[in-house]
Amino acid sequence: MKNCRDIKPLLYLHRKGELTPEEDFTVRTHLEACSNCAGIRQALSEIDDLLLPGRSAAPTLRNDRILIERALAGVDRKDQRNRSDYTEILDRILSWGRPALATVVATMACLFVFQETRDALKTSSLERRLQVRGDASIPHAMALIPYAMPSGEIFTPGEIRTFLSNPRTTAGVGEDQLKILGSILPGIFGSSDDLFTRLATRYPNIARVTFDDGLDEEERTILATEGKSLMKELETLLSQGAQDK
Amino acid sequence: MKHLIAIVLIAFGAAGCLEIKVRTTISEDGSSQRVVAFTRDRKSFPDAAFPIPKDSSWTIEWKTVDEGNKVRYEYTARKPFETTSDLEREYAEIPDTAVFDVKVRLTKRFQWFYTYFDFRETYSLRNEFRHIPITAVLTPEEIEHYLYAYSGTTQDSILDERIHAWSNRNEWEDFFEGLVNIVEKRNIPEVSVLKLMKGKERFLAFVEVRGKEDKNANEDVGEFFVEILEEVLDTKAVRPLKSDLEMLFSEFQRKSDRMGTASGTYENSVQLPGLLLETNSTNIQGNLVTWKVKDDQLKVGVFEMNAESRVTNTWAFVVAGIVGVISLAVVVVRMVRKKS
Repeated sequence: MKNCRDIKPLLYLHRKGELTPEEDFTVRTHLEACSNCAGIRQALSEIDDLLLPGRSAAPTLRNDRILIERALAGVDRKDQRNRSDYTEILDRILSWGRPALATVVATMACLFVFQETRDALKTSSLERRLQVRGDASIPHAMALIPYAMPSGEIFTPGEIRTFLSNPRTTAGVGEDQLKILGSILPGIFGSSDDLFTRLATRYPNIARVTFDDGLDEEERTILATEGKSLMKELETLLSQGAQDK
Repeated sequence: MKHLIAIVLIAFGAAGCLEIKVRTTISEDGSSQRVVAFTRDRKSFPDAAFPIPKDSSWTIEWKTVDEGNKVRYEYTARKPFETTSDLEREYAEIPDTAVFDVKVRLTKRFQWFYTYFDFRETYSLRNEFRHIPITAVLTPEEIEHYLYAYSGTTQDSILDERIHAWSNRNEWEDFFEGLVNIVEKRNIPEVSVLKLMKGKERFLAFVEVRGKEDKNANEDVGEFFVEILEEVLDTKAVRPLKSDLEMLFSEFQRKSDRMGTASGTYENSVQLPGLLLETNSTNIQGNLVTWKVKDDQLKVGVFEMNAESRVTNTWAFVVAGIVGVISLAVVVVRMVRKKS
């Protein structure tokens, strides 16, 4: 037999018929024996009877839209209050941060493009100038020097430098590319070596170039055409030789 | 005894054709180190117009170099400079009256992604013989070529000869002007300025020719000039000018000697940090730029050396990258919020 304290919570469910058969049996048995609990059950039944008409009728909103909207707005406000912690801060940051960031990024991009363009122009101008009259233009011509050596041997860069620095071998030549080429050509075409015979056949006009009285227009043309091709061919041969080695 | 003309002609070479090498290494922070070096037969400072460091702010070393048959002495002076302006200040105190003037300017410009270094240095000679401007003998193009494209070719040697002739003439023009002043001052009736001016070319020609021939010219300079003047002006009245002529020649020789202290070749190298962008030198190895100039070139104009380099500011690229990513994130967030 359960006491009243255990039965009371079941009484509320009993009136709605929400108890399991075992619980329902227990409650019924207790109510028969306990007048106090039976009284409570009776009171609950009376209240239910009183409320029954209201519960069975559907609620009428009577077209009160303002009330509905207010209620929905209240719900929204509550929702917004929950989200405001991060979104409001983010919104504020974005409101002034977006144009500021755009300006900064645009300025940086412009600055970078400007600096790169300006510097590229400067370096290309420097390279052009060096190709025309700088020491940087010498190595191409120097690559040919071994062929100009009397013995026809390949020399080390140090020996080439010594050769070039000897005033007797480069008298009046200085660092002028064309003059260096001119000083080399007689050596190349004066040789009876097969390579040089072949080159002399392929580039017949180069032997006409002399440097006694500077370069005239015809000599310049020969150097710009045949001379250039010859240098290219020699460079190819040199690189092939280096690869074979 | 040297010939009179020879003395004057080689006056510029009197200091023994010193070859001075200067190397400046510039660091990314704007500090630099300058090294001045030369080699000579004696372990002593040459009488050079170039500002050779001698004071204790420089670390000076003398090394003995055994060249087989003779011993030479290599001088090296080093000095670190903390800031760009320290280097400028080092040469700022050269007086205006100095024969050789050096001016250095190093600027560091921060431009966000890159920091730019501008190096400017000028060598100039204060020529005391300035009667004939160089533009009277060389075209502006020739001057430009001689200063910045000199490479010892045949054409350059022709320019050398023209400049030597101009320089020599300039010196004797100076002497002749002094002579005119003496004649004006003495006011000898038989020796008028007009007469002297008429005989100017003859006088200068006699000085040149006889100066080479007369081995005793330098023993009695006064007598040498008096004899020539007597012949040119056809009068014995010039004899009282002898002592004045001796003084004039002494002053002339002093000026020549002074100019002679600038004789030599100068090799100036500068190692800039980062990537080399621009320079007026044609001798470049990586970011090491070298200029070579000799005293004759400095006579025709101021030798300017300039170079510019840039150093990449890695942190600036990182910051730019972060800003870029943030911007991208903002755009993405905005798009997502618009959709939701």
